[in-house]
Amino acid sequence: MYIYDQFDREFVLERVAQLRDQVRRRLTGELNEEEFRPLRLQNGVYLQLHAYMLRVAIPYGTLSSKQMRALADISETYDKGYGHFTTRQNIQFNWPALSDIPEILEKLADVEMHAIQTSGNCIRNVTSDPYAGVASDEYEDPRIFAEFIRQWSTLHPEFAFLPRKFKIAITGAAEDRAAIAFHDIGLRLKPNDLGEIGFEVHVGGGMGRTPMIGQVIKPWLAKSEILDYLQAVMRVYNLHGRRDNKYKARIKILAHELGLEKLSEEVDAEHRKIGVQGSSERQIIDLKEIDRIAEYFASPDLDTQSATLTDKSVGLNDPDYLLWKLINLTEHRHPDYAIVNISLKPYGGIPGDASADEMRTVADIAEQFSLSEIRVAHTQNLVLPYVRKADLPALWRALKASGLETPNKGQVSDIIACPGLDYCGLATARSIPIAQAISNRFKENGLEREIGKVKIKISGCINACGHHHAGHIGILGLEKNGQEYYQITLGGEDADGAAIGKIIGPGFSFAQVPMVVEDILKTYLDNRERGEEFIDTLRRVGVNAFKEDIYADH
Amino acid sequence: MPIIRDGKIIEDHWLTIRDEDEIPDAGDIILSPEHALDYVAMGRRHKGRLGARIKSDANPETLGPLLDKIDLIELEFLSFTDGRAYSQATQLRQHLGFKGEIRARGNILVDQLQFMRRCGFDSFEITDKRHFKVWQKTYADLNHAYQRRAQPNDLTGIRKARAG
Repeated sequence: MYIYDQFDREFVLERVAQLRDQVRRRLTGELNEEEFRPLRLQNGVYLQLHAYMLRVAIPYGTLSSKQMRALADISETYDKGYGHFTTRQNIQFNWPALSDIPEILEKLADVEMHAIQTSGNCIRNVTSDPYAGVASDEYEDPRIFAEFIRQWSTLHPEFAFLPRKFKIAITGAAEDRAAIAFHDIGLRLKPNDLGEIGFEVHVGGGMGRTPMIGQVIKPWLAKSEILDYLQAVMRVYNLHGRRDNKYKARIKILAHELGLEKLSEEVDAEHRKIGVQGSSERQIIDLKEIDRIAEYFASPDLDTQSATLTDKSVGLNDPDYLLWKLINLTEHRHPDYAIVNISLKPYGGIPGDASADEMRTVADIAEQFSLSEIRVAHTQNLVLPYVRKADLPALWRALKASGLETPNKGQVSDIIACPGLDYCGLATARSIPIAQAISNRFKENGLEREIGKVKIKISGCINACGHHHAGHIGILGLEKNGQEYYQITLGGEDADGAAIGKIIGPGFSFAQVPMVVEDILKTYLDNRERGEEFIDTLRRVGVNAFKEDIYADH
Repeated sequence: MPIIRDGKIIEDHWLTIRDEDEIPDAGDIILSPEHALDYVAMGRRHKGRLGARIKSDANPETLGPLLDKIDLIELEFLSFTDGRAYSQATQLRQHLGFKGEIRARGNILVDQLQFMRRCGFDSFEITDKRHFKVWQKTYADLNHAYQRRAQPNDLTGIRKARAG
């Protein structure tokens, strides 16, 4: 993991002191809410429906056991004893007092964490593949460049007041687990024809009320150029992105209105100016610096001999264990190790929520079984990246003792949901209770195993924080005459083959939604061919076949 | 008009001249780019320094032929949330090699001064005077920065850069 040096530590503490003074000025009235707003937002402080909310960055989703324990402590001391892991590898505390926030940020700084740029119209926390560094299909570890981008984008003086927020995701694997097509900029490290690793750069993806899939603006870019190129994209966006309408202010609209070719020309022209020999603007990444950062992410020595030995000495034939093993494990690049996915989607629970006790349990388990390292996935689940296969039975028992063994990775009840009307000032409908109702229904009807892989995503308003556009089944909560209703989309995809779901027809009431989801999935079961997952059948037979079944029944 | 420059509040005497106004015989004057180009083309006569103001949607390159003839460029902030001038200042310093004074004018928060300084601004004309009493603190809030600053002679690396 990356470890702060003296510079990083001083930087974060300076930033805390600065916010402390701004909070003081706000509380004494020297700053009004309008003036305080952009300042607090760039430190992750939102004003929600009922209270302030603090969003803490978990850069590229990597956490240590020590950091997880600090998050647990903060949730107990300053909040109601829980935190909420988000779709962008952040954690949110929903009930802190404004006057406590500087102190919370100091506690975070103690464990090398911060809330800088987790909101506001600036470059947000850079996200990545939760399996970075351990995935079996990885070309190159994206965390090294994610850390470069984190540093470069942190309080970048030129890009603190952009037309709108700006999200960057980076992956280095063949399979996209970072939803790069739905980011303002998506980066994929991959080889060119000569086998040399560089960046494929996607631009202009996004959710919101105008969902768009990112387009490839650069098929291949040398790694050493990445910061200069990003700087060029950001400058063109800062100067030319629309500022007259916040709903048309993201770079996706600029890309759409200018056209990819023109945007690309402007970016290239700016990139050339930045790259002029001897320019003091170049954010040069030299090999020495790459090596220095790469060292933090070097693969640890994985203990193989004892792994095999212990494996033979342990046997566990509990069917619940075998099921969990089948569903919640991912292939590790090392044959004696496994990547363990910890579901934060217990049946009937709140997607992504973890209590202080659960956070401590995960911290302890990671310390014992995963080299004290934890990852946060954009699916609002946790990941243990370094688990010896021999330790799996003991690990499972420890998870089970705390109710963290739900075997549902990628299944019906592994639902992404935004906070919705229970917390959010923008929401038009509830989303967490919908997720809970669907999850409970499938626990009762016993169809989850049979159905297998499917992505259900729920947003409580058109801003799409629950990524409904990218759900195989997307659910969007709206409101009409004081009544919540839900629009269903089918066929979205956030990974490779990214797609935006299509609305199937008139919306449904809160009570109808779980039944409708069941009908959709039964239609899949009726139509599937051997080996097909839900999305395959949907793509083969088309949305209409599903539509007919649904509206015939309701 | 008091402005903030070089870490001090000082009285400043630059005059903003509208396109329809007569150019005075003496004094430091700020003109629109079109006006300044015309004036320079006709052979400038007044005694004093010349400055130009550019709008948020203008490309600083349009000042091209003027750059070595003017001492000051004023960039506008229509709103403190409108960040275009940060990029304009960067372009002026980095790509166009402008060495004169870059001034920020308009709706500015003192909390933004440090970002502006690092993009190459030197002076700040803050229309809302309420926050003047805290400007000195916010001016020097952060000593650390991950980016290189917009000063042509600063060749330190990305992490070692000090805010200036």
